[in-house]
Amino acid sequence: MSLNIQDRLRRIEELYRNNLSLISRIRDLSNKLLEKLQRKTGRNVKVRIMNFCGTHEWTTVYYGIRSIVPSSIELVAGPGCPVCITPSYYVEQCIKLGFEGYRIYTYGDTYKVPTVRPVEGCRSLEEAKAAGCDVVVVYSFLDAIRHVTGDPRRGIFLGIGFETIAPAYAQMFKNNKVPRDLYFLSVVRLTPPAAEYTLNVCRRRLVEEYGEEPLFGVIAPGHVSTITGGEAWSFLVERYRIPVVVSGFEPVDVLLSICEILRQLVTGDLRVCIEYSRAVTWRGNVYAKRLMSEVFAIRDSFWRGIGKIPRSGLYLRETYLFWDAFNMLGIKDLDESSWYRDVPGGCKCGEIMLGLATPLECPHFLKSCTPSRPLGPCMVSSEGTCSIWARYGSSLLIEDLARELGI
Amino acid sequence: MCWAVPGVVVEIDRENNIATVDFGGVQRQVIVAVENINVGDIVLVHAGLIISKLDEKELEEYRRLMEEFERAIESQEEHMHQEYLVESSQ
Repeated sequence: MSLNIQDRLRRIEELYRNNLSLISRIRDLSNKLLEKLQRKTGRNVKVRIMNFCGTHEWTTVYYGIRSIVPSSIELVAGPGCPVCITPSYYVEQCIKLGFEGYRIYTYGDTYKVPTVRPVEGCRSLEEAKAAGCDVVVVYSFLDAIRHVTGDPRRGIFLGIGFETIAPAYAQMFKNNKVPRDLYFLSVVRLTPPAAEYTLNVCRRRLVEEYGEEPLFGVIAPGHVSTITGGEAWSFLVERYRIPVVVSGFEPVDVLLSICEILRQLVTGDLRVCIEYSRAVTWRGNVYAKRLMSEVFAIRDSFWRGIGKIPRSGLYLRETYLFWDAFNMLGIKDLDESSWYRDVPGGCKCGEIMLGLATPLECPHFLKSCTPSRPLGPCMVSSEGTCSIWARYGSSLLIEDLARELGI
Repeated sequence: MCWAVPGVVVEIDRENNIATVDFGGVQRQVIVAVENINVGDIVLVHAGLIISKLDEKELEEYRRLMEEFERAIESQEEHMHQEYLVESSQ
């Protein structure tokens, strides 16, 4: 069976990754569609295509897709990484509780993410562990549950994530599998409200700057959409007249999605297109969505470097108050008065996540902020925009250098 | 963080909603949050959770769509060529 799956997966790879003749034809078609669009609008129009998933940004940078598409298509990365957008405050609270004797469970990326205010001299859970706190890195919620069971020390799970991970938490709570000695600090966030917020901010900025309505397209996150379904994005088409393609993560997927966005802009036939049909359906994972709504309630919440986004956070419902770290440990949640700009001075992570700046515009990028010594949150996870650009963005760095030198 | 790894289901504990998934030799226990899952299914696993089943029929369908797409490109090219001829003769 093991061999069999390898063969089957190799087939997928051939189809979506190594098909060079198809890639060049998609590129040619995109160029032609763009010409048509220029003729239709009668101006040298720029199309901004935003992604809301770190993995799409990874594909875009790793496979050099920005250098394949015409320069009037700008591929913009949005807030697509839950590690980057988790407010520093919650990590600081966990460090504090670690020093009070609780064991903190979290994922590897959250372990390394730097806070903006030090707690007991520690600027991350990693440093807290070095200072003697009990911090355990886990691969999944299940691992934490198994680890804590039968242990006298009380644990806190720092539950970050988007729609892709929320059903795991919900399934365990719903089935009464979470032991009483594991508290849960819910920092789960929802992507569609963040997409709407980001597009509005970008649009306002561009209208101010250029005085004309910008043209947008959205590459919707494929794995988030396995849960939410394509339907979660239809509001962007209906309310904002923006074409949306739910895309897979191979280079052919992303190029096809760009092509489809251009086609929709040319023909005016705007809709949510599911390109990632091998994993995503229109209604999504209805079972998981039901689990999520039974366990979690939607409330306004805060995003790191950005601020409050309405109806974008998941909090445990009252049935689960005994597990809710906010309730059991008296952690005050962030509000307008207690929120602070939680990125270090000069760091542009907030602007980068909103698509208003690129990592190249940040004074810290690859100087005081590197993947081995991150300063801002986007440099930590392999899904963070700065980290991706730092690891694989060589063509962009060279282009930037060439521009500087006037070549 | 929303990357997912495809693997194949080798065992299911339906009572606890936990499955064992094989990732080409490495096996892990993961939480199940999809319905109608069976041993032998290819699934996408994200941070210890099965988020979706890969639909192999859709893959075949996709292959067919690709062929159609290539044909569409050809006809589009032809169409554009004609448009170009009309425009340049005006």
